Amino acid sequence: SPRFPFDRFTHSMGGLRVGFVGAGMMAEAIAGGLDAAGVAKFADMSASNRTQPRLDVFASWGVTPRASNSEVAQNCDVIFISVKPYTVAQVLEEMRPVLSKDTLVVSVAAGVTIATMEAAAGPGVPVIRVMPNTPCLVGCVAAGMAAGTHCEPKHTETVATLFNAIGKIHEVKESLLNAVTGVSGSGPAYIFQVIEAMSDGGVLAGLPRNIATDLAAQTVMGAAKMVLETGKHPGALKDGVTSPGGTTIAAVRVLEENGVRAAFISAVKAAADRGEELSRQ
Amino acid sequence: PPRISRTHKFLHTMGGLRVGFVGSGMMAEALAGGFDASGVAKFVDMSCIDRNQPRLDLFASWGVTPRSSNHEVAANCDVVFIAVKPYGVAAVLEEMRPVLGKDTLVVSIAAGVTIATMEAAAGPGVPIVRVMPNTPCLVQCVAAGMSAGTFCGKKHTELVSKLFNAVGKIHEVKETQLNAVTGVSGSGPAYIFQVIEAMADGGVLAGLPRHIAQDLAAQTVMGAAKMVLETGKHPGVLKDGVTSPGGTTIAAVRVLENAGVRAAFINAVKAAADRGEELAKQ
Repeated sequence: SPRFPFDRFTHSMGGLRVGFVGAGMMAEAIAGGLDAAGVAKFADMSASNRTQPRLDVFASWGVTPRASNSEVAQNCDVIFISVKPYTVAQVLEEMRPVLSKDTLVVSVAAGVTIATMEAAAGPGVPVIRVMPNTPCLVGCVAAGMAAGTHCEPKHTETVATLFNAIGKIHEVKESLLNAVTGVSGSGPAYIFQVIEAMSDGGVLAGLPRNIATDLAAQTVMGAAKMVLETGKHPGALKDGVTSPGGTTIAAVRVLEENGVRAAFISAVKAAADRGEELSRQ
Repeated sequence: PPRISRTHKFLHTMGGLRVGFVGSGMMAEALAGGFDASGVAKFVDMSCIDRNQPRLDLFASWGVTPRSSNHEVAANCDVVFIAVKPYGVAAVLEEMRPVLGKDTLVVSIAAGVTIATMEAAAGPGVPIVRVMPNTPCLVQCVAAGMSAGTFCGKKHTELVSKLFNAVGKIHEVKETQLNAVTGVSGSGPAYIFQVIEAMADGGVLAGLPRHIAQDLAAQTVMGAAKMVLETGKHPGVLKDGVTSPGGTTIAAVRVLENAGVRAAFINAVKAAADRGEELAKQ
């Protein structure tokens, strides 16, 4: 049937054909999240992968397994490039003959620049570079995206609609994707450490480990949800829960004495700086 | 109308469970809303009372029956939440004493008010469950601990579990462990507000506009916690899974470790728990 990319991008999301070159865990998470949210359906998706077992998994949901990356491109409006970073350029070069202004390429590969991808994909191909993060796997991604030379608002709007169905995404200049890495790309690791430590504190204070970890993780999730849903400044929220001479302000003092906030500022910066170093290599 | 045996209410379906709120503030609002949304208890089967008429009007607008006295709430409910300020709890229970008995479950969410205090006020035989909730109850994501009083049976703690699991998570502990719960989940949200602010600051330092930095920070924190809860994996294992060789993440983890961040959190939790114990002895 004829393709109507303009219609696809500007009208309802119904029937948007999404493809995955590389059918790994991130592709699985994105595909599953999109289908669950209804912004794109498995029946309208394609996938390609080096190994059959992953293709079989996707096929079991109703995704059409394709014999080549090019076949995916020929059957999709939006193509996710979800292979390992070191193969992205090669994959795009391979697909070059079938890519055009009518196929939107979305890369989720860390560290692969738009310039690299545009050189490989050929002139006129709209490319969007996304820095997602691991919680994509639980439908709660925090991501940044940067638009390539040949992108128009309909391209970034399409990607925003897709990712907002499985979390949050913000558009930034490509040079700021390292900063995004520092906050959201690498950020989950900082929080895994915090949860482990809060759990240790609970155990020190006498709780069984399983209860301490569960309460810690649930607390972290709830606190973040409060920031997101109330729209209040984190400092104002902190003020709201620190009663005079109470337990909470006693704990906050310990965190402040130990320069915890400074440590997080420095950690984010260290990750961003390392990202910049790596991109220069 | 004659009161049907309460055992039926607790053991059979949750349909028709009559929940009451003495004190109709923000926490009561969050609980009532959460229960109704999840279906474990419906507004139409709820009662409430509050010093402020506007709060009563708000609850009434959802279909909750506003009552004119604490007694009336207790007389019309199977489970009564005491959601007044901690210093008002004992007085409220003493007032309700004539209408409380073994058939009305009392659930207190007041920080620091002991079961002994409440049992002395409510009178003999009244089942009381003490809950230490936390602020994210307001966004249907509570993390709580509970302890059962002298006159509670399994059906009571199971009921409270079922109610709170509709708005988040709850664990039963010994009353002496509620201070530890305070340290982790009661006070915990404040630690995370600080972390989110700092991660946003870091993003701004690295060049992001503030609103983007903060949104990404909060979303990241939420997603990471969700991964721990949903994968069931050890946080250390999850950390290993996202620290690629010589990459950005391990560079950041080193900074946190050099600064002793994990030790600070352990000490913060303990400081809150210890302060809770001090306050309980006052």
